[in-house]
Amino acid sequence: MSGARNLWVVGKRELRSYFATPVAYVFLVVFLLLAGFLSQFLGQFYEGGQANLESFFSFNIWLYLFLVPAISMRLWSEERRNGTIELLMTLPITETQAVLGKYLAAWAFCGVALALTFPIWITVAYLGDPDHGTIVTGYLGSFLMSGAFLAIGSMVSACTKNQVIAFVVTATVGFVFILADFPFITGVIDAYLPEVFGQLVRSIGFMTHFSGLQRGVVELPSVVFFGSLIAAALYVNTLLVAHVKAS
Amino acid sequence: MDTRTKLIVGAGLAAALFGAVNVLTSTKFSGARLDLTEDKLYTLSKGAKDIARGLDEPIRLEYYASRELRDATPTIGAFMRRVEDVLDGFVRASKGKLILERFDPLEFSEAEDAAALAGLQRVALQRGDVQGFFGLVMRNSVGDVETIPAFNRNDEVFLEYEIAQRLVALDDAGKPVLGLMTDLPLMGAPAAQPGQQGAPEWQIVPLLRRQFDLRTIDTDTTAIAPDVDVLMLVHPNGLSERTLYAIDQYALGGGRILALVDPFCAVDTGAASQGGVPGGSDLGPLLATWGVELDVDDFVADRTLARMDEGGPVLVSMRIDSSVVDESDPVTARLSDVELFTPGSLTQVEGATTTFTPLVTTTDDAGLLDKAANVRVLDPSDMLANFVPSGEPFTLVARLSGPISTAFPEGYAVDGDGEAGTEDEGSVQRALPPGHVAASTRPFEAIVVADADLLFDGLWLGRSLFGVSKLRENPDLVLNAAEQLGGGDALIGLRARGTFDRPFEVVRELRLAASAELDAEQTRLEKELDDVNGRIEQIAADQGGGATVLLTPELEEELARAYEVRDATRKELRRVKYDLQRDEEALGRRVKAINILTMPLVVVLGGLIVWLLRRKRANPSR
Repeated sequence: MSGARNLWVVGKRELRSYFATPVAYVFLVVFLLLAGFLSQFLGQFYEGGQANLESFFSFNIWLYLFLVPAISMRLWSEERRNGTIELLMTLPITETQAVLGKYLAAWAFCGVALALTFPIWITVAYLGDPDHGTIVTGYLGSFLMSGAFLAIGSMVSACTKNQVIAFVVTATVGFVFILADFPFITGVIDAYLPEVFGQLVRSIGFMTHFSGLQRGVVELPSVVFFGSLIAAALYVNTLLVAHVKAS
Repeated sequence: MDTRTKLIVGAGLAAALFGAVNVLTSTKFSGARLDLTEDKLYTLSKGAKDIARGLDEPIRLEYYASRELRDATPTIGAFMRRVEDVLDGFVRASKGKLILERFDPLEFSEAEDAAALAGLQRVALQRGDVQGFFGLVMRNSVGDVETIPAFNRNDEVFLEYEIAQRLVALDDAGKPVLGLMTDLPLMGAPAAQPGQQGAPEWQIVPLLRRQFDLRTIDTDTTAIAPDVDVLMLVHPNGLSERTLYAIDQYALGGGRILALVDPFCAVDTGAASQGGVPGGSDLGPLLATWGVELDVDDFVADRTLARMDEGGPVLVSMRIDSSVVDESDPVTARLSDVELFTPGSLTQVEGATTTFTPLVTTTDDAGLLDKAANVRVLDPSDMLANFVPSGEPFTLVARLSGPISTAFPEGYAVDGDGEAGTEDEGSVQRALPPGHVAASTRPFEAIVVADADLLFDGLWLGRSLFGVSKLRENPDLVLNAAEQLGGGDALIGLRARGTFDRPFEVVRELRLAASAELDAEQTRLEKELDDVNGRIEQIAADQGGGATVLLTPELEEELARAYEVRDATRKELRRVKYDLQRDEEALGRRVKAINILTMPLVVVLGGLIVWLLRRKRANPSR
């Protein structure tokens, strides 16, 4: 089997498993309800009177913090607990293909959830004259960010058989990435550690990287950040799976 | 290597690589970006980049932004980010010439003192509980300082221009040179006889002096020094061909022109004292060569823009407001009240080589009035009676830019006493001096204003016991124009940029419609009340109009009806008001409902259908 075909097989198996039970539907409904509620009430989308999706995108990061671990926690933990990981590994596929296939399926599912928020785009275009370029980069940024959360979650999920632990640890790690560029954190680091640490911590903050994309600017450091985070997490994920398989 | 060691080493390597790549890209490639906003909001325009790139000396930018303000409202936070983005853009383009320092001036901190000392303004939010600084101090190496005391959201579209203009001022050693050529007594006049007081200089002069190195140039000059950055011609009249030639050569050599020309200059006391109708400004063949024509026989009047007094519109005076100015040009965009007196009409001449951009126009309710017939008319209503609007706007201020060629291809005329040549070409000798320039080497830039009276104190200055105060923005028009022309090509090229302010049009229209409906309803109510009162008065008069009016049964009935009508109309008004707000609120509720519930319902429905189909497939007999 070719690599692409293997990815497709693993991905399809994964996606089908989501929709075999009501889990996928429940997730989608909760995500859409929360996204709508947060942007309309807390974000004051209508009352703000501005034809942009800032009130929608600004809550995405907090939604992902809790909802993405709910998807990622079962990626490997469940396979490990049920013992289906052995079954998966008997297939003629490499660990990398297995990790990538499952990850891409989960990311595509996140993409579907995000895409289903399109009525807010239509609404904003009906109410005013929004900058569609900004909305496109906002969605792109949101999708990249969900991918980063998901890669962390996938990696964490391969560490444990317990889904609850996977959920909690993923949310905590995600929270660290969100807090990284908050001034009270960087302030403390700048005060006590050499400059390079401050730069490092600032450069891994989700907020900064997402805010550029949300404003309509695709910055190379942000794309590299999300891309390299996903790559690094998935690489470690592959090593973890290999280790689990061997032991 | 076993899988455990592989895992540990691999994870360590991945983490190190991830950290290194991100520190590297965030420090070395922070400027690599793709701006996908419609108006390229986060990309500096070429002109602004050129200015930053062309800086000769380092300039320090001290940016003061209080965190309290940033956190107070999302709009201020967004505007601050926008300002910071523009500043970062300038810094990046300057290749190290601009040094940006950021300060959060906390209360009682050194930064707060420094901000206040540099002249920054304390900004207070409307709700009053949050105060702070949001401004910029710019210093060059020789100690000159320029400030933006407080960034203003209303000026967001000119953010780039505001910063660029100050950079240009700091980068040029000394102020730009403004050459002033005029016969009007702008600079004051000495006493005519001993013991009398001379005329003081006009108040525009100190304003010009504050921003420019002001040099008066005689009206019989034979050459204009090339270090004059902008030549300001005010109501030029009777210039010799030698002087016109000097202006021509100055313009061709890249000199900038700000010309205030006028068909009828009321403050031209020299002309007025000679009696008759004073002539208009005369620049010989120069205006036509530059691509513009001034109608010197008529002045423009505009019923909509005319100054109003008790007798109605005064057609000789015109109040320019923000509806008739070019809002994308920094020279005029922020003008909202400039008073002109008998301005002229500018048109582009056929075959002009320059582009002609109107900066200020009239409304459609404007027309030409014959100068000779109207300047001596004292009663404004007579003038109004003769006025016929043309239905088209006239241009009052225009920008000219592009290549030009000389108006004197054969040089200037010389005769015995060096005065202008006569009409008889055969007897005129022409001199073509060495170094004659026939065509412009760089694009010609000029702003022509078809009124010179606007400089006169009486048109824009108020005097009271407490001193003088500026009532109109007449000086701003002239200062903006001179400043922009003196700032170099890049500054001239800067225009208004986009804004991130994009209001909900639908809601605004709802509100507009609501207020229009409300106004109409209010007018109806008032008219109805007037009618009712009229009826009551009529009945009273019919009763004989005595000192005491007895309430007859008819009157009582009429009154009762009147009150009824009034109450009903008021009730109606309240209902309309409520209904109109209800429209807006109902739209809000619909928006919320659609965005929160539609898609979850669709997913639930989709899930149910899939479930039913599966059950049917699994159990076909049911």
